Amino acid sequence: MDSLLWSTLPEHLLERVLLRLPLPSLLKFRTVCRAWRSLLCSDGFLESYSSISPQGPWFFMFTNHDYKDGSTFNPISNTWHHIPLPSFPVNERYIPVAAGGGLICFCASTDGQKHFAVCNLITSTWRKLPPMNNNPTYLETVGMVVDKGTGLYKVVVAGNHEISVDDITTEVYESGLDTWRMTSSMPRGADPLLGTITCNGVLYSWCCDPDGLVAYDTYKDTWSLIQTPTPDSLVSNTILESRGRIMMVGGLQEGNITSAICVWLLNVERMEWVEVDKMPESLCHEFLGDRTYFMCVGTNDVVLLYIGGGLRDMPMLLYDLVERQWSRVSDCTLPDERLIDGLIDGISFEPRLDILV
Amino acid sequence: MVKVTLKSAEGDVFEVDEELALESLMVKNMIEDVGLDSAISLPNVSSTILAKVIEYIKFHMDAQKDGSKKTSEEIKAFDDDFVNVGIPTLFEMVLASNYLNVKSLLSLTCNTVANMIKTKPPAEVKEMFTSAKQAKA
Repeated sequence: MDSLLWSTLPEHLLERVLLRLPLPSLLKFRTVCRAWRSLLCSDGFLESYSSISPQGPWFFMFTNHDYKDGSTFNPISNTWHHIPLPSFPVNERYIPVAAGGGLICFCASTDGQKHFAVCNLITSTWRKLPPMNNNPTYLETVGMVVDKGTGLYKVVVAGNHEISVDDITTEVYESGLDTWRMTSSMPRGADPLLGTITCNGVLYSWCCDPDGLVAYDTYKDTWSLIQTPTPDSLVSNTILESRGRIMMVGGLQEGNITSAICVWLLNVERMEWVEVDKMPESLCHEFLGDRTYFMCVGTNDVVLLYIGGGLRDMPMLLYDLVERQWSRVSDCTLPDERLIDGLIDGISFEPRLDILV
Repeated sequence: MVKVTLKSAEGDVFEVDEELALESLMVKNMIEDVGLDSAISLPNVSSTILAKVIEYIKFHMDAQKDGSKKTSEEIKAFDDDFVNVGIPTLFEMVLASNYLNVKSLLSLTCNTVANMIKTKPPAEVKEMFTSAKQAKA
């Protein structure tokens, strides 16, 4: 009879209990009954949930060379979930290019045209963005910012039309208006690499020339170059955002081998990278073996380091940018058929039920 | 130290420090409304549960005092042990912490229920939480 007690629990207390469930349980319990489903999917519940139980970052890792399938790693529970990708058109290959505030922006190239789609993996919803005004041939950088208050987002795309032309145009998509608008050109000389972070409304991506970062202010729609020389022997470097600070994780080469993995913080007054942590030597050796390169992806203070293309026997590590702690990820629990090509590539995102595409 | 008299559902009387009693926002409101002259009657809380709630508040008040040597591990161990009770007691504690409006205890007990059900299959959860209502319907 004990278990019958719970059915007499007043609704507002039941809601309090459900607000404290981890996200996978919440998704699972939508099938309990109609009343639970409507409660768990209601806007009010989802809003309270994201403020009471903020979920750390999850990592969506592609396990298929065609970018058609992947699995999601939840570092808090140290579990893998198979969350299917949205049902994109089968003839287009959508690849993730940016993530922010619970959403992931994908891009597909078909017939020389770039198509963008924004999806929320957790709610399995997605939306194709309208065509750009001046569709670029080559993408230079893509970033997105989401306003946590309103849920409105912007996608910033910089690209050029011929590889020889160094005039890089920028277009910004605003979800509130559902249109793209042309903004300023990226500075000449900048040769940024795809992969951006957002820090206080400014997008940053790596820039080779000059050695540093290229920044796009999403409030003022302006570009700027930041010279921040990186160590000479740097490899596999990734920029990350943590609590309003810009961080970097990368390897240092000695001869042909990567002998150390370090963490740097950007000192914004001196525009200098300051080393703040170094992976213990034994762990670094265990992780890399005799490999030179590794991959790194992170958001919301948590970073996942992995070997690209690695299979289940390859070590994976987590790094906490706030606690400055390294930890091993225990063996991947995915069945073999889900790991056909190993871990190809990944993107980190915040699992949010309340953010609409 | 000013004392407050709390009276449980069975009519048992608990005399506690005013400072402790004020941790219950419901009791705090009652004191503001009717003063300290008479016992505060809590008809929805049994003696067993009221004693538990008092024990919980007392431990956390002591732990927060300056000079308390309690570590966060010790506090966690106390909380874990505190909610390591049978289903009926846990259920009563959820209701009592809501009725007495003790926010931290309500969080602790709701968390415990969430942890208890999070790995259960939906069918089992359905049976637990909806069977009686459906039977009535």
